[in-house]
Amino acid sequence: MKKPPDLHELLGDDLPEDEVERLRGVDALLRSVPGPPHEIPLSLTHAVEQLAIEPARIPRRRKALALAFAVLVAALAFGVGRWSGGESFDAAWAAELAATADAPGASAVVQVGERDEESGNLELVLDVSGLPPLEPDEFYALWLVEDGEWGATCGYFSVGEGETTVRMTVSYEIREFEAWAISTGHPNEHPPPLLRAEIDAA
Amino acid sequence: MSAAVATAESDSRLIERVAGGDRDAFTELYRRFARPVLAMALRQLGDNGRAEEAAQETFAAVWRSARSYKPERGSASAWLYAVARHAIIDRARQRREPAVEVPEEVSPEAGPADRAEGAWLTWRVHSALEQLPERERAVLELAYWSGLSQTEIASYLDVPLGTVKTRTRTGLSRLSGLLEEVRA
Repeated sequence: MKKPPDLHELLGDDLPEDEVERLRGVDALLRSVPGPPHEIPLSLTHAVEQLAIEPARIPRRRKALALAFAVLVAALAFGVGRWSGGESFDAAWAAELAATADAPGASAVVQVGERDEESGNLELVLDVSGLPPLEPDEFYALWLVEDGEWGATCGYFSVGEGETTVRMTVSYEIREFEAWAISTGHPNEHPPPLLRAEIDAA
Repeated sequence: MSAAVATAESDSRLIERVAGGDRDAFTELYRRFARPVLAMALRQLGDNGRAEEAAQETFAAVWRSARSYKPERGSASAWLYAVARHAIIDRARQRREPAVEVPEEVSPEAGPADRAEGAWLTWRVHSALEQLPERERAVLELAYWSGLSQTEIASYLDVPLGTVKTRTRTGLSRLSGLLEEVRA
Protein backbone atom coordinates (compact mmCIF):
# COMPACT_ATOMS: atom_id res chain seq x y z
CA MET A 1 0.00 0.00 0.00
CA LYS A 2 1.20 3.49 -0.79
CA LYS A 3 2.42 5.74 2.01
CA PRO A 4 0.13 8.64 2.92
CA PRO A 5 0.87 11.89 1.13
CA ASP A 6 3.22 14.44 2.63
CA LEU A 7 1.66 16.64 5.32
CA HIS A 8 1.83 19.71 3.06
CA GLU A 9 -0.13 17.87 0.42
CA LEU A 10 -2.70 16.72 2.96
CA LEU A 11 -3.27 20.22 4.29
CA GLY A 12 -2.88 22.31 1.15
CA ASP A 13 -0.50 25.17 0.45
CA ASP A 14 -2.46 28.01 2.00
CA LEU A 15 -2.01 27.02 5.64
CA PRO A 16 0.48 29.14 7.69
CA GLU A 17 3.74 27.33 8.31
CA ASP A 18 3.41 27.54 12.11
CA GLU A 19 0.04 25.78 11.86
CA VAL A 20 1.60 23.08 9.68
CA GLU A 21 4.33 22.65 12.28
CA ARG A 22 1.74 22.40 15.04
CA LEU A 23 0.07 19.52 13.22
CA ARG A 24 3.31 17.74 12.37
CA GLY A 25 3.32 15.88 15.70
CA VAL A 26 -0.12 14.36 15.28
CA ASP A 27 0.72 13.59 11.64
CA ALA A 28 3.74 11.58 12.83
CA LEU A 29 1.58 9.76 15.39
CA LEU A 30 -0.93 8.70 12.74
CA ARG A 31 1.89 7.43 10.52
CA SER A 32 3.32 5.38 13.40
CA VAL A 33 0.29 3.20 14.14
CA PRO A 34 -1.49 0.59 12.02
CA GLY A 35 -4.89 1.43 10.58
CA PRO A 36 -8.16 0.55 12.29
CA PRO A 37 -10.38 -2.29 11.12
CA HIS A 38 -12.47 -1.16 8.17
CA GLU A 39 -15.68 -2.00 9.95
CA ILE A 40 -16.92 -3.66 13.10
CA PRO A 41 -18.09 -7.20 12.29
CA LEU A 42 -21.83 -7.56 12.80
CA SER A 43 -21.17 -10.89 14.50
CA LEU A 44 -19.17 -9.06 17.18
CA THR A 45 -21.83 -6.41 17.68
CA HIS A 46 -24.49 -9.08 17.97
CA ALA A 47 -22.43 -11.11 20.43
CA VAL A 48 -21.76 -8.04 22.59
CA GLU A 49 -25.45 -7.10 22.54
CA GLN A 50 -26.22 -10.52 23.97
CA LEU A 51 -23.84 -9.89 26.85
CA ALA A 52 -25.82 -7.03 28.24
CA ILE A 53 -28.72 -8.99 29.53
CA GLU A 54 -30.50 -7.95 32.65
CA PRO A 55 -28.82 -9.51 35.68
CA ALA A 56 -30.96 -12.47 36.68
CA ARG A 57 -32.55 -12.45 40.10
CA ILE A 58 -30.87 -14.87 42.42
CA PRO A 59 -33.02 -18.01 42.53
CA ARG A 60 -34.23 -19.11 45.93
CA ARG A 61 -32.14 -22.30 45.68
CA ARG A 62 -28.99 -20.30 45.02
CA LYS A 63 -29.80 -18.01 47.92
CA ALA A 64 -30.05 -21.03 50.17
CA LEU A 65 -26.73 -22.25 48.81
CA ALA A 66 -25.16 -18.86 49.43
CA LEU A 67 -26.48 -18.89 52.97
CA ALA A 68 -24.97 -22.33 53.49
CA PHE A 69 -21.65 -21.00 52.21
CA ALA A 70 -21.88 -18.08 54.61
CA VAL A 71 -22.28 -20.49 57.52
CA LEU A 72 -19.41 -22.60 56.20
CA VAL A 73 -17.14 -19.58 55.80
CA ALA A 74 -17.95 -18.39 59.29
CA ALA A 75 -17.29 -21.84 60.70
CA LEU A 76 -14.01 -22.16 58.81
CA ALA A 77 -12.92 -18.71 59.84
CA PHE A 78 -13.61 -19.56 63.47
CA GLY A 79 -11.78 -22.88 63.20
CA VAL A 80 -8.79 -21.50 61.34
CA GLY A 81 -8.63 -18.56 63.68
CA ARG A 82 -8.45 -20.90 66.68
CA TRP A 83 -5.82 -23.04 64.97
CA SER A 84 -3.56 -20.26 63.76
CA GLY A 85 -4.48 -17.23 65.83
CA GLY A 86 -1.43 -15.32 66.98
CA GLU A 87 1.03 -17.80 65.50
CA SER A 88 3.83 -16.74 63.19
CA PHE A 89 3.85 -18.07 59.66
CA ASP A 90 6.88 -19.45 57.83
CA ALA A 91 6.28 -19.77 54.11
CA ALA A 92 7.88 -22.71 52.29
CA TRP A 93 7.08 -21.13 48.94
CA ALA A 94 4.77 -18.57 47.42
CA ALA A 95 3.04 -17.73 44.16
CA GLU A 96 1.98 -14.39 42.77
CA LEU A 97 -1.37 -14.52 40.99
CA ALA A 98 -1.75 -12.35 37.91
CA ALA A 99 -4.99 -10.52 37.21
CA THR A 100 -7.01 -11.64 34.20
CA ALA A 101 -9.07 -9.36 32.01
CA ASP A 102 -11.95 -9.69 34.46
CA ALA A 103 -10.07 -8.03 37.31
CA PRO A 104 -7.59 -5.47 36.01
CA GLY A 105 -5.66 -3.90 38.85
CA ALA A 106 -6.18 -6.81 41.21
CA SER A 107 -3.24 -8.66 42.71
CA ALA A 108 -2.72 -11.54 45.07
CA VAL A 109 0.06 -13.56 46.64
CA VAL A 110 -0.49 -16.94 48.22
CA GLN A 111 2.11 -18.24 50.64
CA VAL A 112 2.27 -21.94 51.36
CA GLY A 113 3.50 -23.13 54.73
CA GLU A 114 5.30 -26.34 55.62
CA ARG A 115 3.10 -29.43 55.86
CA ASP A 116 2.17 -30.32 59.41
CA GLU A 117 3.53 -33.86 59.72
CA GLU A 118 1.03 -34.91 62.35
CA SER A 119 -2.14 -33.77 60.63
CA GLY A 120 -0.94 -33.60 57.02
CA ASN A 121 -2.36 -30.09 56.67
CA LEU A 122 -0.85 -27.10 54.94
CA GLU A 123 -1.52 -23.56 55.97
CA LEU A 124 -2.02 -20.94 53.25
CA VAL A 125 -1.83 -17.21 53.72
CA LEU A 126 -3.45 -15.23 50.95
CA ASP A 127 -2.86 -11.49 50.56
CA VAL A 128 -5.23 -10.00 48.02
CA SER A 129 -6.04 -6.48 46.92
CA GLY A 130 -7.83 -4.69 44.11
CA LEU A 131 -10.92 -6.91 44.11
CA PRO A 132 -14.23 -5.13 44.64
CA PRO A 133 -16.28 -5.99 47.72
CA LEU A 134 -19.17 -8.30 46.84
CA GLU A 135 -22.79 -8.48 47.87
CA PRO A 136 -23.38 -10.03 51.31
CA ASP A 137 -24.41 -13.37 49.80
CA GLU A 138 -21.45 -13.62 47.42
CA PHE A 139 -17.92 -14.85 48.03
CA TYR A 140 -14.58 -15.12 46.40
CA ALA A 141 -12.87 -18.49 46.29
CA LEU A 142 -9.26 -19.57 46.09
CA TRP A 143 -9.15 -22.82 44.16
CA LEU A 144 -6.80 -25.14 42.34
CA VAL A 145 -7.07 -25.83 38.62
CA GLU A 146 -7.02 -29.40 37.34
CA ASP A 147 -7.42 -30.22 33.65
CA GLY A 148 -8.45 -26.63 33.09
CA GLU A 149 -11.36 -26.93 35.52
CA TRP A 150 -12.06 -26.22 39.17
CA GLY A 151 -10.16 -29.09 40.78
CA ALA A 152 -10.16 -28.35 44.50
CA THR A 153 -11.35 -25.55 46.76
CA CYS A 154 -8.93 -23.97 49.20
CA GLY A 155 -11.42 -21.64 50.81
CA TYR A 156 -13.97 -18.88 50.43
CA PHE A 157 -13.43 -15.31 51.54
CA SER A 158 -14.65 -11.73 51.36
CA VAL A 159 -12.59 -8.59 50.85
CA GLY A 160 -12.62 -5.07 52.21
CA GLU A 161 -10.98 -1.91 50.95
CA GLY A 162 -7.21 -2.15 50.50
CA GLU A 163 -5.40 -5.39 51.17
CA THR A 164 -7.12 -8.37 52.72
CA THR A 165 -5.22 -11.24 54.35
CA VAL A 166 -6.89 -14.62 54.60
CA ARG A 167 -5.59 -17.79 56.24
CA MET A 168 -6.74 -21.16 54.98
CA THR A 169 -5.90 -24.79 55.62
CA VAL A 170 -5.79 -27.55 53.03
CA SER A 171 -4.38 -31.05 52.80
CA TYR A 172 -3.84 -31.29 49.04
CA GLU A 173 -0.62 -32.04 47.19
CA ILE A 174 -0.65 -28.63 45.64
CA ARG A 175 2.04 -29.31 43.06
CA GLU A 176 -0.20 -31.95 41.49
CA PHE A 177 -2.48 -29.17 40.26
CA GLU A 178 -1.95 -26.88 37.28
CA ALA A 179 -2.62 -23.48 38.73
CA TRP A 180 -4.02 -21.33 41.49
CA ALA A 181 -7.15 -19.37 40.68
CA ILE A 182 -9.40 -16.86 42.38
CA SER A 183 -12.93 -16.24 41.22
CA THR A 184 -16.36 -15.54 42.54
CA GLY A 185 -19.03 -18.14 42.81
CA HIS A 186 -19.27 -21.87 43.04
CA PRO A 187 -17.50 -24.68 41.11
CA ASN A 188 -20.74 -25.69 39.40
CA GLU A 189 -21.04 -22.23 37.87
CA HIS A 190 -17.65 -22.53 36.15
CA PRO A 191 -16.70 -18.95 36.99
CA PRO A 192 -13.83 -17.44 35.00
CA PRO A 193 -10.68 -16.86 37.07
CA LEU A 194 -10.13 -13.26 38.16
CA LEU A 195 -6.53 -14.02 39.12
CA ARG A 196 -4.37 -16.97 38.20
CA ALA A 197 -0.87 -18.36 38.69
CA GLU A 198 0.64 -21.45 37.14
CA ILE A 199 2.02 -23.98 39.59
CA ASP A 200 5.51 -25.22 38.91
CA ALA A 201 5.47 -29.01 39.26
CA ALA A 202 9.12 -29.07 40.34
CA MET B 1 -11.16 22.15 30.69
CA SER B 2 -9.81 20.39 27.62
CA ALA B 3 -11.94 18.27 25.33
CA ALA B 4 -9.83 15.25 26.21
CA VAL B 5 -10.53 15.59 29.93
CA ALA B 6 -14.21 16.16 29.33
CA THR B 7 -14.37 13.01 27.23
CA ALA B 8 -12.45 10.98 29.81
CA GLU B 9 -14.96 12.02 32.46
CA SER B 10 -17.73 11.03 30.16
CA ASP B 11 -16.19 7.58 29.60
CA SER B 12 -15.75 7.28 33.34
CA ARG B 13 -19.41 8.07 33.93
CA LEU B 14 -20.41 5.50 31.32
CA ILE B 15 -18.44 2.79 33.13
CA GLU B 16 -20.12 3.74 36.39
CA ARG B 17 -23.50 3.37 34.70
CA VAL B 18 -22.44 0.01 33.24
CA ALA B 19 -21.53 -1.06 36.77
CA GLY B 20 -25.14 -0.37 37.66
CA GLY B 21 -26.36 -2.61 34.85
CA ASP B 22 -27.19 0.19 32.40
CA ARG B 23 -27.41 -1.44 28.96
CA ASP B 24 -27.57 1.86 27.07
CA ALA B 25 -24.30 2.95 28.66
CA PHE B 26 -22.76 -0.38 27.70
CA THR B 27 -23.89 0.05 24.09
CA GLU B 28 -22.41 3.54 23.99
CA LEU B 29 -19.14 2.30 25.49
CA TYR B 30 -19.04 -0.41 22.81
CA ARG B 31 -19.68 2.17 20.10
CA ARG B 32 -16.78 4.28 21.33
CA PHE B 33 -14.24 1.57 21.96
CA ALA B 34 -15.03 -1.33 19.62
CA ARG B 35 -12.66 -0.10 16.93
CA PRO B 36 -9.72 0.69 19.24
CA VAL B 37 -10.14 -2.73 20.88
CA LEU B 38 -10.29 -4.49 17.52
CA ALA B 39 -7.36 -2.49 16.17
CA MET B 40 -5.19 -3.45 19.12
CA ALA B 41 -6.32 -7.10 19.04
CA LEU B 42 -5.59 -7.33 15.34
CA ARG B 43 -2.19 -5.80 15.89
CA GLN B 44 -1.34 -8.25 18.69
CA LEU B 45 -2.97 -11.44 17.40
CA GLY B 46 -2.68 -10.91 13.64
CA ASP B 47 -5.86 -12.83 12.91
CA ASN B 48 -9.38 -11.50 12.36
CA GLY B 49 -11.15 -14.39 14.08
CA ARG B 50 -9.01 -14.35 17.19
CA ALA B 51 -9.13 -10.56 17.33
CA GLU B 52 -12.91 -10.68 17.26
CA GLU B 53 -12.91 -13.27 20.06
CA ALA B 54 -10.60 -11.10 22.14
CA ALA B 55 -12.79 -8.05 21.52
CA GLN B 56 -15.87 -9.99 22.59
CA GLU B 57 -14.10 -11.15 25.74
CA THR B 58 -13.02 -7.58 26.42
CA PHE B 59 -16.58 -6.31 26.44
CA ALA B 60 -17.77 -9.31 28.40
CA ALA B 61 -15.16 -8.42 31.03
CA VAL B 62 -16.25 -4.77 30.96
CA TRP B 63 -19.85 -5.81 31.54
CA ARG B 64 -18.91 -8.16 34.37
CA SER B 65 -16.21 -6.07 36.01
CA ALA B 66 -17.25 -2.46 35.63
CA ARG B 67 -17.64 -2.31 39.40
CA SER B 68 -13.89 -2.78 39.77
CA TYR B 69 -13.18 0.50 37.97
CA LYS B 70 -12.00 3.17 40.39
CA PRO B 71 -11.77 6.64 38.80
CA GLU B 72 -9.21 7.75 41.37
CA ARG B 73 -6.80 5.06 40.17
CA GLY B 74 -6.65 6.22 36.57
CA SER B 75 -8.55 7.22 33.48
CA ALA B 76 -11.41 5.24 32.02
CA SER B 77 -9.46 4.80 28.81
CA ALA B 78 -6.49 3.33 30.68
CA TRP B 79 -8.78 0.92 32.53
CA LEU B 80 -10.40 -0.20 29.28
CA TYR B 81 -6.97 -0.58 27.72
CA ALA B 82 -5.92 -2.84 30.61
CA VAL B 83 -9.07 -4.94 30.23
CA ALA B 84 -8.48 -5.29 26.48
CA ARG B 85 -4.79 -6.08 26.93
CA HIS B 86 -5.56 -8.86 29.39
CA ALA B 87 -8.23 -10.31 27.11
CA ILE B 88 -5.82 -10.31 24.19
CA ILE B 89 -3.07 -11.97 26.23
CA ASP B 90 -5.57 -14.55 27.52
CA ARG B 91 -6.65 -15.28 23.95
CA ALA B 92 -3.06 -15.81 22.90
CA ARG B 93 -2.42 -18.11 25.88
CA GLN B 94 -5.55 -20.19 25.32
CA ARG B 95 -4.29 -21.28 21.93
CA ARG B 96 -0.88 -22.04 23.42
CA GLU B 97 0.55 -19.74 20.81
CA PRO B 98 2.59 -16.62 21.41
CA ALA B 99 1.02 -13.29 20.55
CA VAL B 100 2.39 -12.05 17.28
CA GLU B 101 3.04 -8.54 16.17
CA VAL B 102 1.97 -7.27 12.82
CA PRO B 103 5.17 -5.70 11.53
CA GLU B 104 5.24 -1.95 11.56
CA GLU B 105 7.45 0.19 9.44
CA VAL B 106 8.54 2.28 12.40
CA SER B 107 9.93 -0.47 14.62
CA PRO B 108 9.97 -3.85 12.87
CA GLU B 109 12.35 -5.30 15.47
CA ALA B 110 10.84 -3.76 18.56
CA GLY B 111 11.40 -5.39 21.94
CA PRO B 112 8.68 -6.15 24.53
CA ALA B 113 8.78 -2.66 26.03
CA ASP B 114 8.50 -1.07 22.60
CA ARG B 115 5.65 -3.41 21.69
CA ALA B 116 3.77 -2.47 24.85
CA GLU B 117 4.36 1.18 24.07
CA GLY B 118 3.19 0.58 20.52
CA ALA B 119 0.00 -1.12 21.69
CA TRP B 120 -0.73 1.78 24.04
CA LEU B 121 -0.07 4.29 21.27
CA THR B 122 -2.35 2.41 18.89
CA TRP B 123 -5.03 2.39 21.55
CA ARG B 124 -4.76 6.12 22.26
CA VAL B 125 -4.73 7.15 18.61
CA HIS B 126 -7.73 5.04 17.65
CA SER B 127 -9.63 6.02 20.80
CA ALA B 128 -9.07 9.66 19.90
CA LEU B 129 -10.13 9.09 16.30
CA GLU B 130 -13.43 7.72 17.59
CA GLN B 131 -14.10 11.09 19.19
CA LEU B 132 -13.93 12.98 15.91
CA PRO B 133 -16.99 13.76 13.85
CA GLU B 134 -17.56 10.96 11.36
CA ARG B 135 -16.81 13.14 8.31
CA GLU B 136 -13.38 14.10 9.70
CA ARG B 137 -12.50 10.61 10.89
CA ALA B 138 -13.37 9.11 7.50
CA VAL B 139 -11.13 11.55 5.66
CA LEU B 140 -8.19 10.95 7.99
CA GLU B 141 -8.51 7.17 7.87
CA LEU B 142 -8.65 7.23 4.10
CA ALA B 143 -5.68 9.61 3.91
CA TYR B 144 -3.41 7.68 6.25
CA TRP B 145 -4.34 4.04 5.78
CA SER B 146 -6.10 3.48 2.47
CA GLY B 147 -3.34 4.47 0.08
CA LEU B 148 -5.71 6.87 -1.69
CA SER B 149 -4.56 10.30 -2.84
CA GLN B 150 -6.50 13.40 -1.80
CA THR B 151 -8.08 13.57 -5.25
CA GLU B 152 -9.10 9.94 -5.03
CA ILE B 153 -10.58 10.52 -1.57
CA ALA B 154 -12.60 13.45 -2.93
CA SER B 155 -13.88 11.24 -5.70
CA TYR B 156 -14.59 8.34 -3.33
CA LEU B 157 -16.56 10.53 -0.92
CA ASP B 158 -18.09 12.57 -3.73
CA VAL B 159 -17.05 15.89 -2.21
CA PRO B 160 -14.85 18.71 -3.61
CA LEU B 161 -11.09 18.44 -3.07
CA GLY B 162 -11.20 21.62 -0.96
CA THR B 163 -13.66 19.94 1.41
CA VAL B 164 -11.28 17.02 1.86
CA LYS B 165 -8.46 19.46 2.73
CA THR B 166 -10.67 21.38 5.17
CA ARG B 167 -11.84 18.22 6.90
CA THR B 168 -8.24 16.99 7.10
CA ARG B 169 -7.10 20.23 8.73
CA THR B 170 -9.93 20.40 11.24
CA GLY B 171 -9.64 16.69 11.98
CA LEU B 172 -5.89 16.88 12.55
CA SER B 173 -6.27 20.00 14.66
CA ARG B 174 -8.93 18.39 16.83
CA LEU B 175 -6.88 15.21 17.10
CA SER B 176 -3.84 17.22 18.09
CA GLY B 177 -5.74 18.53 21.10
CA LEU B 178 -7.06 15.11 22.04
CA LEU B 179 -3.59 13.56 21.86
CA GLU B 180 -1.74 16.39 23.55
CA GLU B 181 -0.63 14.16 26.45
CA VAL B 182 0.71 11.49 24.10
CA ARG B 183 2.81 13.92 22.14
CA ALA B 184 4.17 15.66 25.23
